[in-house]
Amino acid sequence: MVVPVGFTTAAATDNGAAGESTIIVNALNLTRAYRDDGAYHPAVQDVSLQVASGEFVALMGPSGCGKSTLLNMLGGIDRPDRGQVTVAGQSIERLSETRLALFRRRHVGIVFQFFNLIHNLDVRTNIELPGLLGGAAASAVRSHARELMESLDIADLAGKMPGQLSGGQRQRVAIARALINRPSVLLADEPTGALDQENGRAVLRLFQRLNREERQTIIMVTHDPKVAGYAGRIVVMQDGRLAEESRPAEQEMGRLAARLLGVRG
Amino acid sequence: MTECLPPSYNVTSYSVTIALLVSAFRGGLHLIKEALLGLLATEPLHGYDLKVGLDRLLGGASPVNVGQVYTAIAKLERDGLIEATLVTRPSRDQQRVEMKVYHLTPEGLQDLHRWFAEPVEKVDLRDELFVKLTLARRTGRAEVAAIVRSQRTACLRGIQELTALKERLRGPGGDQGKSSDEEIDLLIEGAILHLEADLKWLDLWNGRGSQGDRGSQNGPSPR
Repeated sequence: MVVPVGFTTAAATDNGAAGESTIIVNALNLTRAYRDDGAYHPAVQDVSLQVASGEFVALMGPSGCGKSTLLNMLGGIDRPDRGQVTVAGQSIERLSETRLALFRRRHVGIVFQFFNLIHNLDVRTNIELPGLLGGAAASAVRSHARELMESLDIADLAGKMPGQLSGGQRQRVAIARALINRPSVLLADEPTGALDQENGRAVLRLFQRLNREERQTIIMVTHDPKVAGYAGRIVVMQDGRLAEESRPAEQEMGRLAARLLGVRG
Repeated sequence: MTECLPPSYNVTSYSVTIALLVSAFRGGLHLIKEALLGLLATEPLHGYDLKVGLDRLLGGASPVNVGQVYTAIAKLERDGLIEATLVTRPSRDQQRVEMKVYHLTPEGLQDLHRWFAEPVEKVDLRDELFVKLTLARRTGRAEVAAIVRSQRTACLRGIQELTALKERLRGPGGDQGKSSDEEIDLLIEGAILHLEADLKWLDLWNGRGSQGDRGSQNGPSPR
């Protein structure tokens, strides 16, 4: 049982934003309700949240607590009834549908629980399509897609159809597709929910690597504390509100980890 | 519902505290004895090796002093569970020194296998957190909610810390789930699962209000 070299000085949980960072997502007093048979169901109530560039944030909470509704508002998929959302310096809550779609394509990458790949397109085309729709040169899109496939270890799957892939491989393709336009923020809604434990873990390690090495900002929704444990900051939602937050101090081994390893401070 | 605390329980009562300490001490000695047998089952070792082996096994959670180790060794030897032989080994200054090396007897091996076969009783459910929440519940809902909130945050922080530690030990090529130390990996996984269970248990407290709200003397069932 050995303490890993450098643990006490290297960033133990350096997937939170380190040092001075700019706020990439700024949500102020967001409120969103659904109406069903005339009844009013508040999903998100007066939530404010700031996410710094380079952060890996988990929005956690039980089913129905409003975390996916909040994520959708942060990514411009849904609009708040009240409040403001600014992403990469642009206020998005009042954009027209067309401008909002353009904004999403440029600034937001989305990873879904059930992958949402286009079944009659091969892996390479699935990944390249959002880039081509965004108007980038085909050669540049193809080159970036190749880089992403190599980085995510799916280069040998380029010509395969989604139906020929395992769940873990499909989610890697979905992540590559989400990154093709170099988004300001990567949103993931229960990204490991349809995967077995090992593939789920591989996806989370991949998120950590993207966050640490590429400083990719990630906001991930999950109901599972073990999944949230991979994030640098956990924000817990309850009944549509932010209830608590955990952000361990960086660059030191936590007390619990030290106790478990028998390290005396 | 069961009583959350015995009728005679008094938080200022030393008898409860002393009983708990005596029980923990006996349990600690029992564990040291069996751990020594287990260490000797792999190879003969001298006293210092056994002390180092125990420290590695138990980590910082239960520090063992040298006196406890030699007391346990003497008892095991007296009971015929281990035997000592004198061997000569080189010392640091190149002198040759005689030292006792202990090995397991057949009776010791039998005792160890008997211990392996017994399920371990986890009895630490009425822990500090349970007592704290129970007493806070009698004070009011606000106290319980504050404790639950701070404890939940501590659990989440613990899960984050342990996840970081686990992944670091597994290393950059750890996608196959192999850790550099399988035993510590399992220990960390166990600790994360306990914290996850604590989070669920804390939610039960949040949902049950205070004694004043419900007129009950009882907390939820212990974990």
